[in-house]
Amino acid sequence: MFSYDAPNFTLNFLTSYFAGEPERAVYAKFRVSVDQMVASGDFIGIMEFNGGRRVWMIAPPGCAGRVAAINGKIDYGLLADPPVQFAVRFAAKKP
Amino acid sequence: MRLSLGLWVGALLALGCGGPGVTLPLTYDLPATEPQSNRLSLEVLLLADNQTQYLYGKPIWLRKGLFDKVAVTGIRSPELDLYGQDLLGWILEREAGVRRGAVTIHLGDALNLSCTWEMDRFTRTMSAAKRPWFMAIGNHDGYFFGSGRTGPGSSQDEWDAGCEKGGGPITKTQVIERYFGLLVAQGRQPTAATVRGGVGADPGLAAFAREADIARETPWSYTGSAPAVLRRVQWHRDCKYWRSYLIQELDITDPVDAPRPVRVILLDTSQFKDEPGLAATVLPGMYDAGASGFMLDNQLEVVRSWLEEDRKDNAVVILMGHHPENVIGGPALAALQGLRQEFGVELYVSAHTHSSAYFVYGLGESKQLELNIGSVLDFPAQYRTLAVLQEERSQRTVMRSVRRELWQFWQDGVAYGVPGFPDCEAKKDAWYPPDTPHNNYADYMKSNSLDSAGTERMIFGALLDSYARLLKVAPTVTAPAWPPGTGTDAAVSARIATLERPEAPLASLQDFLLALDSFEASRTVEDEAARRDYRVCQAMWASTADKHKARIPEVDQWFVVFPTPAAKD
Repeated sequence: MFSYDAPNFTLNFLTSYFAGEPERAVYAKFRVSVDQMVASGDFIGIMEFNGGRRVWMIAPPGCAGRVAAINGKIDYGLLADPPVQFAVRFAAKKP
Repeated sequence: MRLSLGLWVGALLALGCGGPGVTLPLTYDLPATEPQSNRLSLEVLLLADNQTQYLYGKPIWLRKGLFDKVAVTGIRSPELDLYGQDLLGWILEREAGVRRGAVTIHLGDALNLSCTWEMDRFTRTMSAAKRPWFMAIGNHDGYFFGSGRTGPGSSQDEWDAGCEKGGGPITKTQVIERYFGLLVAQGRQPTAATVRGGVGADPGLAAFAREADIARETPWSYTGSAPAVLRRVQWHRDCKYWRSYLIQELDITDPVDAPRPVRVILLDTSQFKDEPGLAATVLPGMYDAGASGFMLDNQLEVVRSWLEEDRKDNAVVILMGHHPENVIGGPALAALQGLRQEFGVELYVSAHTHSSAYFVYGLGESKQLELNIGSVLDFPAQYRTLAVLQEERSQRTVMRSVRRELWQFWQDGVAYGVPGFPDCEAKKDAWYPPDTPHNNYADYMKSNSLDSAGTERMIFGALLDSYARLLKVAPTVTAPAWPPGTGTDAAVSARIATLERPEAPLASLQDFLLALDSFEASRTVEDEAARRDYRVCQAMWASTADKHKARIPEVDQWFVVFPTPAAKD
């Protein structure tokens, strides 16, 4: 469901994943909050689809850090199309 | 009388009807980002006002060049009428397809003159929706040109003339019968996708198809156990067709653990006691269906009974109808606003205006919100989605509604290389060369003529020219319905050239255009994508020109490429 843009510490929704889904995604219920630490494999939330299906959102490999921002204005109708929309941004690592 | 309390409250509310100074109190939040919420409903697609136009009837009074200056949608750009339904088809393919589709709610004005041909064409357009779709009746759906047949230039003879060779007029009662049949047809589809995944018709529609009989005006309601969208339907067919009505209740509750149901009641705001028409402009007490909406007590009493049951279920209810509240006739408006107040209906969704806005009504702290949606035809062609959520912390109802304007949506899609988005500007020189002898989109706007026939000839000429170019863009592979006297694209083009001469009888143009319509609908072409893009691009250019009366960039246009100095004229 995700691609992790490591240089920019950004977890993005993967358009090809949503393009392949038979139902439209209609709501991302995040279960992390700003300043929370997230590691790869952690449960981030639930993606809900119009047919009633729920899919867990899991932090992919390499994705880890302190949550800096969560996308609060996802355009669900465009998740399957570029440009990618971000899901979570993490704080830049200190040098 | 049972409605009296509602009328009284509604009258008070109507005194403070929408307009400058009526504002939402701070108890309403208007956040920039989505509050943490639980979903209550499915996401639905909202669209309206596609105004399918039968173009091939006899000239009528209301389609004179001069009259168009008064009522600017009296005549649209010919290519907008010819190809405009492809805009609705594009939206449905994208948003109501088998994959990633949504339930569609059409808020009326599917037709324009109200001819049987228009209903047939609309039915064909809606076949692009692979998910359940439902419709509220608009003023153009069963009333001549959206107003009615009483008054200057709007007689039964004019209606018959406008619909000549197009199956004749279709009254509101007949529209209700046709739409009833479309609901049944949806219910009988064995392989259409359900809104909840998998195959098979919506259980509500399937039950309706089995159980409902239009001849029996007993209320129909869904009694099955599987989650279903179509929940209730009530109708009345009257020999005085303006008194007929059809209303529906939809259940758009999210099928998984929604704490309370969400229901939509589709009202019929085009129901009148006396026959409406343009006579309302001169006769007091009459209504023009294009200027005003109305609902009679028999409809409102059913709505009240539905709301009473919904209240027992603690349902969130959204009312929807074609006419916005600010044009609904006094007693009907008072009743509507009274019902909203009594049953806590937080949102009314309407169409009809061909623009889009939020309206706020109310007196003191009693505010009522209305969402008005724009047209899928007139610029800027647009649609919306709608979903209902419940804020986690406060348990307040949240509405999420995203609006899309097609022209900007397409530009963004092309910029990002999204498949299926038409790149109109890249094709402009090929599909509308600068040396085109006349500007088909805008020539009719120069007419101040009182001659209906002259205006029709201008329009027919533009349509023929557009077909000639379409044949070059998308040559025919096979055609089960060649126009009479032809059998190749070259022969069709030659016949078009003959008919474009000023001495060609208008009836010949009419007959040939009718034949071209059938030919185009049934032929296969070498490049279907090119044909599709040509048609929607023509519709979009025509829609833009129709708005501005010229080709002018939109304010949000990022790029303008200027001509070389020698080519400016």
